[in-house]
Amino acid sequence: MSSTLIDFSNSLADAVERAGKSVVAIVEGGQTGVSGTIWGEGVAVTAAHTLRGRDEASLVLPSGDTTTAKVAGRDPGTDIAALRFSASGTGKAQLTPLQDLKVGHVVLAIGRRPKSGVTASYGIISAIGEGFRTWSGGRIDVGLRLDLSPYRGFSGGTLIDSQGRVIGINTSGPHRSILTIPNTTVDRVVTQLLEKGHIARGYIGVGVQPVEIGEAMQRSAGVKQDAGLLLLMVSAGGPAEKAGLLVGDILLTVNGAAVSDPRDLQAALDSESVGKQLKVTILRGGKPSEMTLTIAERGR
Amino acid sequence: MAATVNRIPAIGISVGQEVSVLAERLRKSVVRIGGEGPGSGSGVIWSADGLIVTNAHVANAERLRAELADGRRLEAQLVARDPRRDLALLKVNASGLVALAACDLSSLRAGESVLALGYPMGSDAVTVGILHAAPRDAHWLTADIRVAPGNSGGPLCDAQGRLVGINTMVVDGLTLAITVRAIERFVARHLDREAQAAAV
Repeated sequence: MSSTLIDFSNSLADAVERAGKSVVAIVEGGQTGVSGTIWGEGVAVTAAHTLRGRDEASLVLPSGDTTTAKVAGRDPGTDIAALRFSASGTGKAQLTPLQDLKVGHVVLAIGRRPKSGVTASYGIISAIGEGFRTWSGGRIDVGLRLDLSPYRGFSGGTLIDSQGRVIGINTSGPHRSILTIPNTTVDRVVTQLLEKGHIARGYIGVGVQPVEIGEAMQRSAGVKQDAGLLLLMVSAGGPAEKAGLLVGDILLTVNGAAVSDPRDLQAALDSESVGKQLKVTILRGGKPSEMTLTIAERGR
Repeated sequence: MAATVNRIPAIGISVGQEVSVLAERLRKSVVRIGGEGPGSGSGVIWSADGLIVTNAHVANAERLRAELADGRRLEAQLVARDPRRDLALLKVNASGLVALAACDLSSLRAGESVLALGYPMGSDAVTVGILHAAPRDAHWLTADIRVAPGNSGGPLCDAQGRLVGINTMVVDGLTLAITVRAIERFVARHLDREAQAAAV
């Protein structure tokens, strides 16, 4: 019997089977556990929050074997943790080019549970948004919203497209939703975690608050922006103090871009910024001036 | 394979049409089961000569009514009930009914399409979802599919319309169905007992 419904059904099961070869179960003493996704030879990723500070985790591999993995590093910003384990023939799954994704595309959330094996939930992409920063400062490249039911144990599992390619890693979002960390973000975070064990964050040693810049001030100072960031604190010995910034200065631009929200500044201080120069414009005594800072790494 | 990410939307229309054709065929094997109270559930025609299976929690009254898809309302006699397994076997006085073929569970894979039919909230409905995991347990299987009170006892079918199980409960949003294998054993046990009783 040939039918498109049966073809559709088989193609979904094929995709689940293919992707399931890269999905592991992570067992916690006594608990049903969560999932993890193999991201390279001997490397698995999972949702960092599920590890609850443990340094080791027990993995049930697609082969059914159980092995112990060591936590190589975790990034609370993106909720990604990288684990190392010894197993051969564990390869990374094929990735979906994120620019190809469209609203309405069929997606499947894949997990693994010690008893049931591979698990799957079906849904579609309901919205695709710009990249954003999580409240804990992680940079997510693409905002994906899904119409898909999250079942117990889905965290750390894989979101795949209908061909079984990996779109990203699923973790818990607000209001029982799914937050998918896109594959490019996972790649970036995992590379750093394996190298350094943590995600570096830039640091300049200031505390800021948004302030308005009135029209009269704008005219007299010759600036064309109605808000900036007032420096409330400048840490002793920090990059800002070394560059000569003072409490009361108003930060106008960072690397040429206007800043009016602390997040604008945070965005300029991500992991790649460490050690680089930061050009800033400030307003002091009613006059704008330029300064250059060297970004340090935030202490852990 | 084409370079596009998903080829599903292009076949979406014919999948939808096939679901409606399949559902129309399967409806003939689904019954609505009512007791003395206002609540109701669903059942599956198990044999052409009037055996119907449902959940024990649906068949919870002495006098039951079974309403067929063609509108016939029949008295249903409770012939076996196992509350522990949540299964019940009913008999209506009818012939020429259409029973569903049983699915070979060992061939099922996670992600396969499944259909749920029944009488959620009292009116008949069909929903489509997928198998959450390949069935490994003899009694239970899990599906990612929307069901509601009233779906209990109704069929969960694969893409070919074969009976996979009967929808029984929802736990943490996940639909749990009793496998067709467990139903076969339950019915066989009852028929054995009946045969033994006849021999005595």
